[in-house]
Amino acid sequence: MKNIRFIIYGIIFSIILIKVEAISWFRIQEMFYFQSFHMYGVLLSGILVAMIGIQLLKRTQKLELNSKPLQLKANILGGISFGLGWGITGACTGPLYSLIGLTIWPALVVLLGALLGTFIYAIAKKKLPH
Amino acid sequence: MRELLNKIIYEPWPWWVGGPLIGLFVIALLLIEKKQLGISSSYQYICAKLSPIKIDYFKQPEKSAWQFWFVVGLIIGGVIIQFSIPSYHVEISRESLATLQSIGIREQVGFVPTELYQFSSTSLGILAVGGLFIGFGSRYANGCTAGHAIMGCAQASPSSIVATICFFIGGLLATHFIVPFLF
Repeated sequence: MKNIRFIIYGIIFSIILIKVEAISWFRIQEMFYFQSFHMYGVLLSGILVAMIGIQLLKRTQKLELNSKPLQLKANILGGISFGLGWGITGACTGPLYSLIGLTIWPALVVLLGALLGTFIYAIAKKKLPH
Repeated sequence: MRELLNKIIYEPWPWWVGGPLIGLFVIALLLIEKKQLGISSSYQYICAKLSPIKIDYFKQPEKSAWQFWFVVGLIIGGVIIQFSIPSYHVEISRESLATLQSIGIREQVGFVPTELYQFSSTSLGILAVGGLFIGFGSRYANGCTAGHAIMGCAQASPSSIVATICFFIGGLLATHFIVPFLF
């Protein structure tokens, strides 16, 4: 039952991402060429609303959040690697699944690549600087 | 009313609708399910389930089981939208259109360019390598645009701010120094 709830959350999030065109390679290129405010508006307003909500929840609900640990080398090297993939494919993790749902089948190859990348990280983890 | 409904279903949403909705979504997920938005852990879950060998990193996949069902929903969301918009045209700025034309991308129908998302060995190779960087990088950085750029930055978490800046550095490098030479 709980699983069905998470599927529904996924459906809602996917619809938002698609309707605001965050899943579009064209929009991502436009963003990295600084030629439109659209994607910046999406990200910044999303972060701002979430930030206000988190502050309100913290004060009223005694909400405890996990904060990801700062691992400078991993955050920087992993971050740049992710960014390279994002810039090339125009898809980050969430939109990638939406594209597959939209029957843009070559996106399946991106997903396969991402799974392979995860596998490589899992094997190499101990040897990488974190 | 009917007009508004048609607009919502058939037209793209402006950033000031979609962006705040993403923020509200993050809050709802926290408030109702006590879950912090994150998507790239789904890769870890899927790999853990498929892995033929035992690796430390793949222990305890059940922690991110909810993320697996969440991404199943992401795919279904795409299928649903597919029915409401048979053909789609992303109206990017004229400047971007000119820039993309200059690197060999024609104006076209769809969310992604057919020059890249097609079944040719070159395109599939580029997509696979791009995917590899996405998977490796998001796991190495311990999060992606969802977990770091949206959720983590909303928490003002230092690791997320560093990661998000680096996502952009990587994206800028790819867009300006790799993508123009692919087509």
